[in-house]
Amino acid sequence: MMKRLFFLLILLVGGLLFVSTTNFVQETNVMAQSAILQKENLEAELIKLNDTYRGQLSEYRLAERNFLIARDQYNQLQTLASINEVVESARTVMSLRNQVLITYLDLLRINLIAAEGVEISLKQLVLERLETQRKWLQAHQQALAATSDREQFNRLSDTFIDQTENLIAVSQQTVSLLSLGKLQNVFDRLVLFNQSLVIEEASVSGKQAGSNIALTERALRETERLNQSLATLLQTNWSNLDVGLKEDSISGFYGNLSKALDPIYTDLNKLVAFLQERLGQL
Amino acid sequence: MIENKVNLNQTQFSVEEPILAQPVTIDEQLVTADLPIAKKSRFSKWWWLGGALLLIAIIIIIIIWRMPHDNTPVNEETSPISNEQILSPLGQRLETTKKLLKTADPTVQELSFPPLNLELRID
Repeated sequence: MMKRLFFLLILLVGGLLFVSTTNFVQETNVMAQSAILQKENLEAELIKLNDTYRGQLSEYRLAERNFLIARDQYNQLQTLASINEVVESARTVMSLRNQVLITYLDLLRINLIAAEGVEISLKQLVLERLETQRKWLQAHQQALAATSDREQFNRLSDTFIDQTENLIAVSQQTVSLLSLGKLQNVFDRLVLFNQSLVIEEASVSGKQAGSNIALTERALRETERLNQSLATLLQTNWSNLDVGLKEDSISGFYGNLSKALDPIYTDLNKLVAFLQERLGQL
Repeated sequence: MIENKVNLNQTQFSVEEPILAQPVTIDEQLVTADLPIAKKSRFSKWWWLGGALLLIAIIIIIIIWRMPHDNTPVNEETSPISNEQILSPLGQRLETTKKLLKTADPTVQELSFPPLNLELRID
């Protein structure tokens, strides 16, 4: 009787262990797969948006040319037919311009969501601003569709001109975040890579001669120095960008973007070369 | 002389006697006597069965546990057959980071504001 009970107990424990492990593994698989799927979806969406953006931009260019011709005719002829022509072409070109901008903002949004190396709070702040501008463009688009009068079109043009500053600002904020985020992401990866390399070097150092160990230590010191310098440079730029974003005055940072980030890019290339050299010595 | 000693009939068995020629007698004492019983094993079949099932369950768990690790190389850079394949894992990591660095050049800006006429007016 006791033996049967023991057997049943083993069966029960084994079964429970099996079921719980299977569930855990399935959950882990689902999580990993969903992360991969999410990334793939973002990439697919980016490709699609890029195509749409290019197509809309070429359509806009054509519409803009037609509008300019219609406006010249209207200015010369001042006929009812030419007024009608210019109003319709204005509707088309303004609508296409809004569409291009909506797609552009979507591109920025997806790129920002997919970006690594950007602090979540800053990402969230800019994503909200992108959404606000997108909503404004959609409302403007609806107003354009409902307008038929030449004067109303001019008023809508004026409101758009007033809004352009905000549109450009949010674009500059996103581009600045993405640019610095890319460099930060590379730096983070290199720091982790360096840690792995140090472990690998330590395991190999037992077999090395004294002179080689001194060489490795010197290389490590140089890498650490460069790491420190890069960390400081990145920190300074993040602080400047943070101020620019929170005070909504990004133009100064954006205007200086290439100049400010170039030293980081150069140092990162140098760091990669150092690490590659050390890897080659293993 | 030889023919008399050797039986040349090959169909005849060497030990041949009629079945039940003599009645079988059963020894009553042997039947009633306590025969030595084979000693029972310490581990009954239930123990063995339980142990085997537990072992199978553990093996299946180990196999399932290892499965996701085999699938993990679905990496962001599943590049086609290239030099990376002959690189060490560390070398591959560095190559991936180098590619990312190339796309991070601050002098190349792919997402700048679109070239649009922002001041379109009829009049």
